Amino acid sequence: MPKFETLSQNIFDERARTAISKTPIRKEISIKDVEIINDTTLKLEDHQIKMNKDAFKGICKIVGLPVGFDKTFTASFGDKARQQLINRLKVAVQAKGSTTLSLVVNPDTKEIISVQKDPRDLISNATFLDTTSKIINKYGLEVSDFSVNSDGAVVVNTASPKNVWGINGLQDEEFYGGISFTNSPNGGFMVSPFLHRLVCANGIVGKTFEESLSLGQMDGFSMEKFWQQLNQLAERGFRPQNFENRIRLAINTRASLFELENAHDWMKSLSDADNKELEAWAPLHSTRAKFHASSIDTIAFTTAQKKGAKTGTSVWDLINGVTHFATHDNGFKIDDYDRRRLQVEASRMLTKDFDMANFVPSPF
Amino acid sequence: MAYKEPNGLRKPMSDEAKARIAEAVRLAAAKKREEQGLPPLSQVGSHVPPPAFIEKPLELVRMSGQHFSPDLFIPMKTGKPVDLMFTSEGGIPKACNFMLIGDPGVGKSTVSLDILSDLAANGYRVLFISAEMTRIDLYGYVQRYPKFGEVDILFTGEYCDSNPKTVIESALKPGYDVVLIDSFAEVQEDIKEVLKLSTAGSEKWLIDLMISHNLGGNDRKSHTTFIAIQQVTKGGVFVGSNKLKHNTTGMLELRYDQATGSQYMMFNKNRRGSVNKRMFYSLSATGDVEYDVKRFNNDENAREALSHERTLIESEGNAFDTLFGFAKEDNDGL
Repeated sequence: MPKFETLSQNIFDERARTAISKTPIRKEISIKDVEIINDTTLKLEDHQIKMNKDAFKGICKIVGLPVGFDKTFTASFGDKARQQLINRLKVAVQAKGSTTLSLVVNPDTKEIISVQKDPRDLISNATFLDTTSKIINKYGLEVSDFSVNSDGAVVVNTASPKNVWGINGLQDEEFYGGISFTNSPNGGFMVSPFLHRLVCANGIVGKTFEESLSLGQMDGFSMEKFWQQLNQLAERGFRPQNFENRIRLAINTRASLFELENAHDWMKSLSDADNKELEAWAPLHSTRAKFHASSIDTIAFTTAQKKGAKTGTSVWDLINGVTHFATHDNGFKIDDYDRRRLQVEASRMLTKDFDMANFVPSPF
Repeated sequence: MAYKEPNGLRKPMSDEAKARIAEAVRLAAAKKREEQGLPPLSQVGSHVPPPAFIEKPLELVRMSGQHFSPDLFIPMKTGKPVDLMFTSEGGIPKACNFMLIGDPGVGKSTVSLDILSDLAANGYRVLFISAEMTRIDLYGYVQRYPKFGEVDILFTGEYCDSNPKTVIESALKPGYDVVLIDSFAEVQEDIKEVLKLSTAGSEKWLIDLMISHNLGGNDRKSHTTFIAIQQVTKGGVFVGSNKLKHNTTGMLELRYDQATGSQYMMFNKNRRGSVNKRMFYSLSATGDVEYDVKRFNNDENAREALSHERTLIESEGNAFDTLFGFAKEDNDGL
């Protein structure tokens, strides 16, 4: 049986230093000083500064412009009209009393990577690690992964070797419960259940479980509520509610072609593995081949048709394929932070409504 | 029909006519007061017109010339965790006025009497002015908290036929270290009703009395600290004038925590200590109010983290300015 590997204190300390050195910088500015040039550039006091997609989304959110509407509007009226609309909305927001916003910048690339209403909506990696360490010590958790990406986003996965639990009647389904800690420029400080499957040592980050917590502010009231919720999770051995039911359902439900393609595309986009190599984790090619052998052209399928096309892979096997790919070194180039993203995506697959959940076999 | 400008249709009222009307109104009001058996406004001490200039000779103060005994700045300790709330050194400061507000039934009287009793046990002279409870009401409290039985109490309700000003002034005359008033509004109402004063006039009298005792205006020259329970509106807003707010050192709120139902106290204003620190307490035990120091320390840790974050945000802001060339050049000395 694969072992649960923990990180040494030296490696933890070294990564903590990296995380702190890569903390993005926050700057509170007056809304009136900002002018949006386009979705990749803003102007601040005659300085043009680059921004990424997340930062632009942040601005849209602050001025109350839905991203979907922005796309439609821009397609119809062009970039110039969009620029005018956002700047007008900015003035309206200002008139309603919001006078400042916070730019979050990657100091290495000089690019704005997030825009928040208040600099206090995010916490520094130093404070994040300090709080994380307190939680780790309090609940006797062991650190299994610690990754930092180029924008200073940090993920620390932990598990509690004391809390091993299984699922009744399923031999291979035993898990270590734990916590995954994330601090990112766009998501802030989040705590989610972390599940470590014993049989294959795969990890899954339960960001979409209802136990996921977000710590927006660090005042006494918020901190107390945060600790109360953590205590409740710890009392259950870090076992998310409804987890067992979801696994049983995932085992008994076939993935749709859409789900299979989605999982395949996630792994492909975050690694250097090619389609053939990914077949072991998400058998997309062989599945399509079977459809084609039955004279069904999957290439011409709409999204809705793909969601209605049953495959031979169960949702649970697909999830395990993704978590295995994310957790283990299979010889592909994949960033540590992206491994964590895949583990999060796996939990999303587990908690969302399965495409085939309501599939009824037909006698016709 | 076309609109006509009213100008020119009617003569403007002359100053003489305005004065005649004002005098008629004044005389009618005076007559009405007389019919109601009320003293003329000119004889009512509370009817203080807004001062035209300054009520006393103007004195500009230079603090280097001020001298107070160092003893005045040593807080009075109850020996309980609640000391951490009032001052950063721990203890209730001298010559201050604290207002205590809170939800009904949250324990305002119990907590403040607990503080008063502990101070008495530590050798401080304390007085409880009870305008809300009677001897019998308080007897029940003393059964649960025997230490309350050692506090000197003035039940103002027992002096309904006397002049409440004289009663309270006489009670305070010997000089106390700490005086608890329950409640400020009730004492104020007694004064207002018996002496036919306005709300502002009765409040002014009570505040002036507190200030004079803050400054040692009593037989023992004690720099009295007052803790006054005050009423709030249904929305939880403090009831009182700006003068009362200005003369309040700290505003202590007693609230229920909605998530857990437990009770806590928190200063929302405190010139001598910190604000927004919660001290949870329980009234379930007999003998003493119990304070939860662990939760208080957790709040303290959160505050430290928050303060650290504020420092980081400031330095990150400077780093941003440098990174993009926003930093202002300092040309001094060039």
